[in-house]
Amino acid sequence: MFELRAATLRYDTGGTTPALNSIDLSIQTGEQICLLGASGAGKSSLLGLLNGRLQPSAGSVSYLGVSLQDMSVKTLRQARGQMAWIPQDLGLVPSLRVSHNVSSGQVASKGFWGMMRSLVLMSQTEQARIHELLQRLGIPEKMFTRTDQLSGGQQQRVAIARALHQGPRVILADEPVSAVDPTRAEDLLRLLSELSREAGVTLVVSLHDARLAQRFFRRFVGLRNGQIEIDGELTDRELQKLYRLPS
Amino acid sequence: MSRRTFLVAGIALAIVSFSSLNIQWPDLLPSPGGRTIAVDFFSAALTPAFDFQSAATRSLGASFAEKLIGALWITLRYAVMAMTMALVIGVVGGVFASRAWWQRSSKSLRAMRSVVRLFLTAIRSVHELLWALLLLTAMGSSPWAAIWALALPYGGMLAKVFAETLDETSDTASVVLRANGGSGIAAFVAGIVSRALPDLVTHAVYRLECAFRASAVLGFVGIPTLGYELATSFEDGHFREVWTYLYTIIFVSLALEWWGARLRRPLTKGATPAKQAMPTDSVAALWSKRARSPLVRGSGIAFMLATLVCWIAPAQWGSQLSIAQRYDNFVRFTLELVPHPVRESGNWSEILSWLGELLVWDGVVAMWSTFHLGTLAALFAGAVALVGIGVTARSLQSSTPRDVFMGQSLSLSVRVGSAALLRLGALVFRAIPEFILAFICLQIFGPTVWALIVALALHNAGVLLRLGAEVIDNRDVGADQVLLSQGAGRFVSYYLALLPSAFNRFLLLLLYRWETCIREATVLGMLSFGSLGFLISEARVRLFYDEMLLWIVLSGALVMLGDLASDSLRSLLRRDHRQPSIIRGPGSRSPYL
Repeated sequence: MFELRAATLRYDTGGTTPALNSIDLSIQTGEQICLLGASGAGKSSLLGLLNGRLQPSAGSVSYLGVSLQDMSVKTLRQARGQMAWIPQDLGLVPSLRVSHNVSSGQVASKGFWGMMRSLVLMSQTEQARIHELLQRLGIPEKMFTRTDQLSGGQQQRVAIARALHQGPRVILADEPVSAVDPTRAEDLLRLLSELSREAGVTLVVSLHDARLAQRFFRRFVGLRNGQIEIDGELTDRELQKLYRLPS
Repeated sequence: MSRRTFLVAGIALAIVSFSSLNIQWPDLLPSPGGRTIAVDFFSAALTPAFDFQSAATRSLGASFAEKLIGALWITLRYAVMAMTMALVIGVVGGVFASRAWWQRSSKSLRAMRSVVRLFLTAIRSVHELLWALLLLTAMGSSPWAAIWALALPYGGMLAKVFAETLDETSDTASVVLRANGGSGIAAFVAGIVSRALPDLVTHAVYRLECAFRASAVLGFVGIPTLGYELATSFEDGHFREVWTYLYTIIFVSLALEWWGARLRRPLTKGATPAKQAMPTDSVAALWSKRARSPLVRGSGIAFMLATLVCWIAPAQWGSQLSIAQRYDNFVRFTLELVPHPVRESGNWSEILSWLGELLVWDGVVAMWSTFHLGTLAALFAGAVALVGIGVTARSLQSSTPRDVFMGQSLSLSVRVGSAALLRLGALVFRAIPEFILAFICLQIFGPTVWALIVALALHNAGVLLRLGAEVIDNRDVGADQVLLSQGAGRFVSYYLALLPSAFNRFLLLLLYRWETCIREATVLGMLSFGSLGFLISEARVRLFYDEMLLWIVLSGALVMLGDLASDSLRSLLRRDHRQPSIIRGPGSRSPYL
């Protein structure tokens, strides 16, 4: 699904060290991958490259065999329409209802006027679909509640619902559980992992907590100083190496 | 920049302004004739008129109530119509003047933003009274002159605030929508505009309240709104009628303010959700049980109906000039805007000597006076507010200030009573437009600059007292509670803990009011004092439209400079003192900014 060949990313901030340095990575359809690494290791940059939000300074990133850099505006938008993005701060609109936020997942397929229609007068079919999704996530009663009136955990479920409503082929999540307690983090990851597996969706998640990640993922991509240190299963030795823990 | 720097700069500026305006302390006392007027005027406050005071006027036909309602209807109608036009300018201008809209565009397209901003700054820098003078002279007496006079500057003001609000709104949702394949416009509208919408609506309601007051003031240039009737009654010495008009202005202003304040909570925080368990089985059941705000819904419907009525009701005022006559007037007016030496000789090089003569002899002096008039009034208002906020803040004047029990006290009712009295005073002064306050003060003090300073300072102190008290009431410092728990009094807690922590926020508010004071000072001269407004008024009376235009452009330039200076100082404050020194109240930005 994704192929990175010698992908290097340098930000225009005058620094000499690249954020990502000659990365080679291949991600297959339906895979569930966890990105690990300390702060500043390059996890968010890698997710940005996969989404096409960032362009590599050197090397290439391709999605379904087509280079993201060479795509036209329209094609790139269509490609992104197949990628759900969940950032760390969730990126929800607090003053909108939950249904509106979930509906905004389909912004690529609906276009501007379709999105406006959903915000003003949502179709019954879409309402029913969102309701079903929220039922699976355990918060159907919040469908018409303003998003800023929900707890942190509930907002995270809304972000997952938005991603799933998009009908994506891949979900890119950047530390989606960093702001919740360990029990809730585990529940949310389980939910994300199960729902993605059911839908056959590729899942790429960046996480801080390696122990938590080990419960849900088989393939780990460990980054350090912008380079891949681990690709595969995670052993304690590799983990120590990645975070430079004392043995 | 430190607090000390600002305080020293403020005091220095006040001294310079005092000497520049050649202010005499004895002028602060009412003139002998003014004393009689003051006694008569204030004693009429408790007996507002319900009928004409003069029997001669009574015999003319229409009743006083009809006249009052007619003037109120015209005032409200022009305000509402102007606001609908201003909203169009504000929304379109606000979007194109925001950084958020242009951030992913090319450099050449981004230059468009500067053009839009310049246009918006120009239209809002000219005071609505000056727009009214220009448009009345160009178009003749027509409701459209009044409506455009309000719509243009208010459109510019709305656009400025809308653009700032959009730029301050977090773009995280917009980034996600783009990452999910949304187009730039869809991400902007669904991710940024929808998030900023509660703040935009709240500010628009506040502007409607301002537009009502401004519409009343248009009466002073002959448009038959409440200000016209008020000025006529005052000049006839019918003070009970004046109070009826004043009470009407105060009542409607406060009603609009109350409405805006009530709307703010459900708009920014959402309607209160139902307490009972929500059904989960069907969308229809969930929809019927959703949290709703009847106030928001009712207000929306009421505003749309009111707008419709205002637009379709027949015009009640306007001259009977035909379109051809209006066109001729307009052509003559535009020809007379050309400086007279150029008009006579046809030689444009003479414009420089004409400009030089006018600017050196009158223009620079008038600009200087106008600047100091506005500055001094803002400084007085700030000083009154800094002292008064300690009295008006509810969280300080309750029996348990800042949640600290202070013991049983007999003086509590006195304290609460005096705080309520000061709040009432602030309420009344901010509800009466500066221009009307200045008109009344001039009758009492006589033709002295004090009258204008007092009027401007009172209105702005009223606004600052309310905003400052809100800042204090919403502030969570901790040190104030410690001081109170250690036996300090309310004022010690205010001056030692609350005021220092909120000082930058006060300065921000004061700088916003300073901009307003400079803007108002450009027109107050129309009432007497030798500032830009005086020159404008004089040029109009002498039918020197070229000079009138020059003074109006100068007043706009002065307001622009004031805005620029205030903007720079505010960004300096924001940069130096990020959170927590500058708190954001409930919602995010105050609608009064």
